Amino acid sequence: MKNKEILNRLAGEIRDITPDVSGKLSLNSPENKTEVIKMSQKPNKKLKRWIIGVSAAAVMALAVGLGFSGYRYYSVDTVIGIDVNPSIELKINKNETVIDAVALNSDAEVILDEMKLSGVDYNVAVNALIGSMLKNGYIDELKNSILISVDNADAQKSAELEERLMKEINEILSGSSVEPALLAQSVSGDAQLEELAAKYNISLGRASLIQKICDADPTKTFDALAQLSVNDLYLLAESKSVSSSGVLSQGSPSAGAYISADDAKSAALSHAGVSADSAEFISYEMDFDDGRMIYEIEFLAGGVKYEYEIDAESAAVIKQETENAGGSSGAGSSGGGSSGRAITREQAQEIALNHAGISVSDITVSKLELDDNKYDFEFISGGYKYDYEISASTGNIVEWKKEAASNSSGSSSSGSSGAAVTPDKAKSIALGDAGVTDVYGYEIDYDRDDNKYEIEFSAGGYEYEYEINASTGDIIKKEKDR
Amino acid sequence: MFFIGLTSTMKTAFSPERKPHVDERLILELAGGERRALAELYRQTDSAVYGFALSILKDPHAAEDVMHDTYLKILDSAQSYAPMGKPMAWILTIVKNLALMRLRSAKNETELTADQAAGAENSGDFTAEISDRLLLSKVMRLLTDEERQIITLYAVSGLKHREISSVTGLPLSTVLSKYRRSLLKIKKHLEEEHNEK
Repeated sequence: MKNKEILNRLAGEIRDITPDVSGKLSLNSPENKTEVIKMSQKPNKKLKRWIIGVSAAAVMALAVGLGFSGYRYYSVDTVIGIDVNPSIELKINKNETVIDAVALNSDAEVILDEMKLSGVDYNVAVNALIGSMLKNGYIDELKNSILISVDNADAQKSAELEERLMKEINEILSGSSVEPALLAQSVSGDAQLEELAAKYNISLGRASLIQKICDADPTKTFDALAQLSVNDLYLLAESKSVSSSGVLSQGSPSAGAYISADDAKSAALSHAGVSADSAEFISYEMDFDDGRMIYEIEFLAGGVKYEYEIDAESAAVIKQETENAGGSSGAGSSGGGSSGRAITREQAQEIALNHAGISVSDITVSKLELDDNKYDFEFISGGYKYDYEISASTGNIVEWKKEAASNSSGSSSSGSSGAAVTPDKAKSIALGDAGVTDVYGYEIDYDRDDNKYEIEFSAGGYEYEYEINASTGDIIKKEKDR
Repeated sequence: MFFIGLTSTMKTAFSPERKPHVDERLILELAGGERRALAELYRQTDSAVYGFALSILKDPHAAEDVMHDTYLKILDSAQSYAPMGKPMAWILTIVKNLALMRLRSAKNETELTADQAAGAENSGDFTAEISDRLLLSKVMRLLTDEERQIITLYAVSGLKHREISSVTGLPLSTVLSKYRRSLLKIKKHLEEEHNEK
């Protein structure tokens, strides 16, 4: 990761967790009210809304909407969302009495039909709802996931209520054969999320879970995931390990409706004609693609990398790709194929050492791994750390890097087969252009994608940044800042 | 099993532009009694203010308090602002003073040194609330106090090393070397983490 990426990522993370104190600030100055609302509508502050919850302004707006009649009793303190497939929202007041129960989809209408929940304690209502979902077959061994979403301005109160709800739902289901998988999360008035929830006619809780999955896996679209049940969403969330933060979780979502990961692996192996002993699994995960739940499986066998997509319901092979060690790939090509590895470990080591001009006896630490048909070879010598990537089929140096092994900033250089300009040459181009000789904090990075050097240094009270084309030595970009 | 983390895994796309623009005129407008300018100023500076406070205090709650107090202080002091084209540095100096004041009061309450107070009181909180996956948690853990402040300032405030030197009161050469060292530490850690996988 480059310096710039690190700094950008850090800035982004801080931006994400920056709380919104604008509401508090303006409460002290009533004449500023319109500004408050403007401030709290600031976009792209997803995370802060998770933490801060509904702003005081929103609560006020709600109270105004109710015309202040019975303000205390009828003001909504918390909204509890319960999603199985039926999606129901319970609006409760400060005393935790239900003011309103809202059906968000047609399944929820079935559940809420003839139930009168207003005026009862929230836990009585939750009991009735879960009981009815169980009775009506919305919750069973194959669909055991329940998503609980709590929307309260006070993060601590939300968390406390989440835990209480999980405990209560566990108790309700303890008499049944269902081992529930519970997910509890805090949600709050994120305008963007509310818009999505309204568009797809789903609860805010479900929308936020979908958003989390989309964030973890950018290939997924909200549109595609909006049709999935909570159970499937939970399976995906778990598979992509997105459920481990920001939510409380308990139990595992039932995969009973689907084949197991082991079954999927065997299906892939038997299709490839590879025995389990000779296969080395690289990865497998459950995914949702083209409207169905699938397993994505990758394994190595006989120098060939196999990628399979297996239908999680029928175990049918949906897609298969092989890539032999030479790097060429063919979709749907049948397995087999001989190893394209022509270079041994010893040869790879020799190639790197020759390039570095160091004899094997001078190496102090080394690592030599074969990954993706490339040898990754690292060693330290003469105070420098060397990192080589060498193609296992051709013996070409794909990439190399040399940097000071100590922590102190020192010169470092790197290059690749595509770079005609050496790092030293690039340095002299940059320094020459800047008209300086005495620099400190000198740093050079090689960007393989764009085949350019990125150089940073300070001199004479200025900070310089250069980008140099690694084939031509042309200066692509320069910046000088005081 | 229950496990709790207050942060969500949401990844927000952030713009590569690291230099927030702060309009100096807003402070002058504030000084002239136009309080509405505060909303815009807040919008331009909130994450820099919070980030810097957090880097000093290592405690999200304390940082939020300092953030709040900073804007009140800006309201109070806008009249004494001398326009020199450095509104961000001025604001961050307020943050620093308020944060240090808070550390000192924590020290008086607990009879610990400022560092210990900040560390003992807060580092536990912090790790519980900032997901381990975040780079920020690594920054908090790996770097020394000064390194952490320098790196955070550089990332969120758009200040140059020279200005960071004036805000933190550290010599420019120290700022530069600590800046480099911090990035190396983070890179090294990320590499090791990557290799372990």
